[in-house]
Amino acid sequence: MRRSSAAERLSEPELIPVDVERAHEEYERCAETPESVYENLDHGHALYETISESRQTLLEKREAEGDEFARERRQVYSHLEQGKLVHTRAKLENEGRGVTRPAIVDHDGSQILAFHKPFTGSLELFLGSDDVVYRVVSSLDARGQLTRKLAPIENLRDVGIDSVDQIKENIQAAEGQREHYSQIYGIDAHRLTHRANPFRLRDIDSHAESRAAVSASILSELLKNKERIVPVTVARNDEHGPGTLQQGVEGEIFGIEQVKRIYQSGDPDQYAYPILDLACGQFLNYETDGTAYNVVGGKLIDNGYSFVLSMQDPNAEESLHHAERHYPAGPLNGIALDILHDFPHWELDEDERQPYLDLVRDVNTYRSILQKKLTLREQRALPDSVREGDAARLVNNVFRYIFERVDENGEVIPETRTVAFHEARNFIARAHYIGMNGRPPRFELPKRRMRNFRERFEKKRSTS
Amino acid sequence: MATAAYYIPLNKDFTDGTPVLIDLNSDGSANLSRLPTDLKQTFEAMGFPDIFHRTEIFPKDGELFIGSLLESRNPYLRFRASPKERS
Repeated sequence: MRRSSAAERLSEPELIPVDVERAHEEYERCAETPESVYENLDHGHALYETISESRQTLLEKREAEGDEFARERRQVYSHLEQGKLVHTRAKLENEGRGVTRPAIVDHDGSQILAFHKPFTGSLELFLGSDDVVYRVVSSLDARGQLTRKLAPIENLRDVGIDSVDQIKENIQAAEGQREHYSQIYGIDAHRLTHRANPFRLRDIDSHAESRAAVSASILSELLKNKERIVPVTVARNDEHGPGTLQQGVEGEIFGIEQVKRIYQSGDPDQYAYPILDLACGQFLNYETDGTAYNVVGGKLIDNGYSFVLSMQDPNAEESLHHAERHYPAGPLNGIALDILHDFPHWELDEDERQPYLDLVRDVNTYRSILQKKLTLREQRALPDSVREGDAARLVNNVFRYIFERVDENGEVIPETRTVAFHEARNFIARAHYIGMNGRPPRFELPKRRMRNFRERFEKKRSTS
Repeated sequence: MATAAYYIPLNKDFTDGTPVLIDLNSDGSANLSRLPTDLKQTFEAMGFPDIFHRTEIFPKDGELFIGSLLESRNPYLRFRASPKERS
């Protein structure tokens, strides 16, 4: 690669005329309307209240059963929800997507470290019809006014993009996905703003990232063995604006040292458990950003890119499990999943599978009650939590929180509710798959980012 | 042009450590020699996800790699375009 000198670069002629105003108009046409942004904030907040209440009840019940860990989690939840951010440098930066800042949360004199992700602004990329890529900075000011600024990007490599073609491919893929949802769900997929956009970044207006991060934490409460791997995450709406707080994790990223330890130890099986737990978590959450850099201290952090939409393989055989016939619209991007594929004999023990199976059984039982398939006598024999559908309602509400959106009149967009229902069902199917097989499935599908981790590791080691 | 980035280590009291420069080698690849060994080896062996999370970008990709670091930084991956934080 030849590097051009500063003088050469300065003398490079401006090849493409850039019309920012027109690009802005184009962008506004496909972005959400400001009115629905505020309506969705309220709607999301109402759903969050519901699910955090259910979460509270669930943890209290666990605590009453003598679960020490549930008590700790509950304390951290209330600490993060009610504590005061005493030190934060939270702000929207003009470059980079990283708006997260470390913060100290003070509650009743005790302080914990957390990561504050304010959702008062977003950064995304937009491809104008003139083939110019714009960086779009949206921000909500203190009065709740939404403003958007577009600035052309001169060098795509500055933002980690190789070429405009790469963006066009993504747009095409997104169009394909929209068509797919239209067919399988019988809906107008253009009304699905969440994660059905080319850059997967244009979702901050309805706080999709924040909703996914919070949901990963709440759903992890349902599965006891997962409790240890998703740090407590809460949604907040305070003087810093709407955003999330994730309990800080101390430890190292899941870097080369950890990988070396597994592959070069001579006895990789001793590492089966942390890897299996992480991989199940990444699969269950449809984590598309579970890279080495988002596994810190054995925890799955930064879960904003989890719970992407599912796609259904039309050619899949009927004999396949439901969870194998549906796959995430984005490539699952998990280091634990990658490593797991090299060890086909690693499976969860019976005890470890049980929480997954219990969840599926509880949800299915509640469904049978609703469908009047159980007699009153059978219903009376069930534990209270199953009869009242604690788990089923929590899962349902969490997926509504992730996917459901309202229009500018505050009315729920029916398409988004349909998708929330399907995604909740797919989540239960994934839990069932893990419960039955003890590990996530291996997707062999086109465009999947699937490669043999061991080969790559060995190759790298031999060349370095 | 993103030809340089700075890695900011985190001190124990959560303040910023001394910035570490990542620039380009003469062959156009990213120069990670000043980074902590662990981080350097991790980047070399595993690369870094591109912003669409569809592939990995490696230090040999030079500018593109540095651009990706700056675009995807977070509190655990502390990279900046300049050694001092912009106000």
